[in-house]
Amino acid sequence: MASCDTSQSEVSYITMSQRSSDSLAVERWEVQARKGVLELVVLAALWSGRLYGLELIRRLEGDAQLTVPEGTLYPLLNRMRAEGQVDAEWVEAEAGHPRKYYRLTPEGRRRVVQMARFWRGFAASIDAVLQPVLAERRK
Amino acid sequence: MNSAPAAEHEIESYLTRLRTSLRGLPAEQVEDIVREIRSHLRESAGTDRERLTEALARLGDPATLGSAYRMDDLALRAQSSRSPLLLLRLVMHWATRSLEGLGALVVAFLGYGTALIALGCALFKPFMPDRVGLWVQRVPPDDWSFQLGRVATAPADAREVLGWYIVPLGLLVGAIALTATSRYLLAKVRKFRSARSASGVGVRDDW
Repeated sequence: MASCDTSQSEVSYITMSQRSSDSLAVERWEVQARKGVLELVVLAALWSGRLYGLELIRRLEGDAQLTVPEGTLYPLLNRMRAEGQVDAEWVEAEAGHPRKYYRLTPEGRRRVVQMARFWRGFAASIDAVLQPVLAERRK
Repeated sequence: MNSAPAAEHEIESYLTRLRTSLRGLPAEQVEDIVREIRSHLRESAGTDRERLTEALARLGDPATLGSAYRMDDLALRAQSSRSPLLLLRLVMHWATRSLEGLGALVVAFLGYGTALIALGCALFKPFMPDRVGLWVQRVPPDDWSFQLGRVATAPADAREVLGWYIVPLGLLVGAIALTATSRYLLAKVRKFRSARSASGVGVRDDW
């Protein structure tokens, strides 16, 4: 009885640890994929005009259902400004507190166009490769 | 009504800690960052304590946020100046947080150390020709001992094998070690920077 219990719990332990290491690997992969598109997403959001940080976050959440953590976004915007992809300017808001607006520089515009073109082709290729995988699952 | 000063106090105490962790950046840049985060917190939370707590949690620990700004600044300066000292500082910081960084630090020490010794030999040789060199000594029965660099007194019954060739050789080896190490570290810095942003884009309500 006792030995039966042990072997059962061992089996469930093995499947559990197997599953968690699988999901951990997927999670790690997801983090890499998310990081990879962060710059593209932020530059693309600035395409049609200047935005300030919170506005950018709300825009991405509202229009695209994408979340960008603030602790990542603000240093990223600062780095993009230092690299010349975006410009920043302070504007006094009617609410009383100033806002720091970001806009694309010509260099930033060129960069996001290149990135968007690459992404289109890349996503189409990945889709083609994924089709059999997803078709199999539907059956 | 009285939650307004309390919220304001909480914001300012967060910003004080952020300012501390930004130490080392130019003062105007620090003020610019602090001003932006203050504006963000005020607008996203208003005077609502609960929303403020949430907004602060999303920004994360002020020390982590500050170090993200500082690392970006250091990496940018290291990349544009290619200064070994800046690269070394960056890698030392990186070594405290990852095994890969520790590996890079070991390479940095070995590489820059080799460069320092080789260049030192080349530079000191003209001023103390008898005390700088590469001495080889036979240790019976079948071992050898080598001594490279500047010595207090030339070891007895050892042969100095390089002579004045140590000058061009030292300059060459030193220059190669210096540039190779810097190039390796710059490549690491680029990789480190692209991997550093704490978390990427997520999808709302998750997938």
